[in-house]
Amino acid sequence: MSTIKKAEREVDELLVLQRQRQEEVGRLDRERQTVQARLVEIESRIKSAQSESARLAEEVSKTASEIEKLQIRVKEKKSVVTSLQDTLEKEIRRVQLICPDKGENP
Amino acid sequence: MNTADKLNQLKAQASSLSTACSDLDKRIAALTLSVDDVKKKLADSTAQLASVESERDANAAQVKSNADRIASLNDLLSSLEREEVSLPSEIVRAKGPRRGLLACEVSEEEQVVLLAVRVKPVIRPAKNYNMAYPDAQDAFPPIPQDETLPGIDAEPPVWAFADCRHGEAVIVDEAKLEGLGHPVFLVGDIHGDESSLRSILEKVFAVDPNSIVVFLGDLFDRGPKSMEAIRLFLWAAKTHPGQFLWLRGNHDEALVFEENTEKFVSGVSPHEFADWLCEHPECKDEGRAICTLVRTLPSVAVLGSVWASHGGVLHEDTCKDFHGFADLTPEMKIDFVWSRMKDTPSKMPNRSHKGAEVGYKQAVEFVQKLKEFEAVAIRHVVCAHQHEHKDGVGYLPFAKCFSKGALTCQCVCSFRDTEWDFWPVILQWRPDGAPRPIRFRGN
Repeated sequence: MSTIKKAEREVDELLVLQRQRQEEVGRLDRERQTVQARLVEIESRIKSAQSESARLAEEVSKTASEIEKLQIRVKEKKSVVTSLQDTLEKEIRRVQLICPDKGENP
Repeated sequence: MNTADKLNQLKAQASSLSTACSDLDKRIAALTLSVDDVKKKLADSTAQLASVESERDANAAQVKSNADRIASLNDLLSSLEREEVSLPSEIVRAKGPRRGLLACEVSEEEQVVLLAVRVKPVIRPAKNYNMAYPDAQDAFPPIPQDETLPGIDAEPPVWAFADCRHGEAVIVDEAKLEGLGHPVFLVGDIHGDESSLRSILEKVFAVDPNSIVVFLGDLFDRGPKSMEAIRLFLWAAKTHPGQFLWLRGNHDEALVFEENTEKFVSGVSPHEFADWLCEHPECKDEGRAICTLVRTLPSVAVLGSVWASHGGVLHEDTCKDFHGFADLTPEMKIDFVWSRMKDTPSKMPNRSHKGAEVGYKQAVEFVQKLKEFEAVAIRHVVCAHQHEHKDGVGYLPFAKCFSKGALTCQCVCSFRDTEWDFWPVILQWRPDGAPRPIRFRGN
């Protein structure tokens, strides 16, 4: 009788072990699905960010080119204005020579 | 079932369960590996995402920076184009002597600054300076005669730009001034010249009944009718709320009522008004109200790019400690009211007296400080205080000290000084350029 009871206890223990293993399998399966879903989401975000980054890089290049053109125009204008200013300063000095007593500091 | 059969059955069940457990162990091991693998991929992807997002953000910041730069360059280009158009005409104007000139300077920081160099103030025919005076009676309520002007109380009027007051300063941005739709005038020392004040009020309100008038202080002393001038000014300010502003002048600040002797005294010379008040005890309450009122006034108005104060800007010893209007020392407040703008400053501050002289170098340093701490870019300084009118027009352009810089400086005075024989001058604020002088030649 004791041999049968021993065998029954062994079967019970194995049943408990089997249930524990099945639960562990279920948990791991769920974890894998969650991580997998997260991975899919991250990959989608990477694609989106890469696309946005490429668009912005193109814009950077375009605006840099515009800046370069504007700088050239500003340089040209500055040169014209400086030349005009020089002329004006010469005229101021000429006027000051004409009216030395009043021209400089009325 | 006998015992042997039962035992065999249990053994078979145990064997089957052992096999099942063994299979489950294998599956667990496989799943663990799979989960670890996906987790690793997730970690790699997260790192990659951070890197890609960082690159994207850097690109976005660069795009914004480039856009700002483009806007700044476009502004600069517009300014340069305007100068390119305007300079030739200025050169043509400069070819004749005794003409006003306007030049342009381009700094290293790509900032275009206008530089007004008035070689000789333009003496135009009087009609150019007399403003249109069409329907003054309709535009401005009749001004009471001297004897019917209301008395003075300590209740302040609703001052112009009251919502722009920051302690000692009233700071009004350019957009607000342009959006007013009404002219803004700057009036210097009245000094008891009630008659000139009357003419100025009549004329500025004939131009526009909603004109805004900023007084740069010193309403009394020197002239013949100090009390009448203050009564007239306060009558105008109270009947036109929000259209007048009074900046504190040194004569205003110096007037004090001594409680122990019950006398009015003044720490400035000449001080006829304090003497007059002592001789007229019936006006004691009005005099005390003036003293109270003056102590509530600001001393500075920043109108777009125009600095306006009675005295001038800070001297170098106070300028170094300037960190905005919220934190002014007593010496700084003194400088705004008492200092003098000079072509060649010779009276350096020793703080034993109040009237130090400020030149171009100090003005430029102070303008830089203002830009740093108050985010305002000053291009024109307007002050009063010194009424040195050597050419009979009451307008001192400080040509020498500001001839190489980025600032104009104008000194304006509005009392008719018989000693110097000049007529009042006021200034009209304008959005682009130095304030326009308007000279009065009498009616």
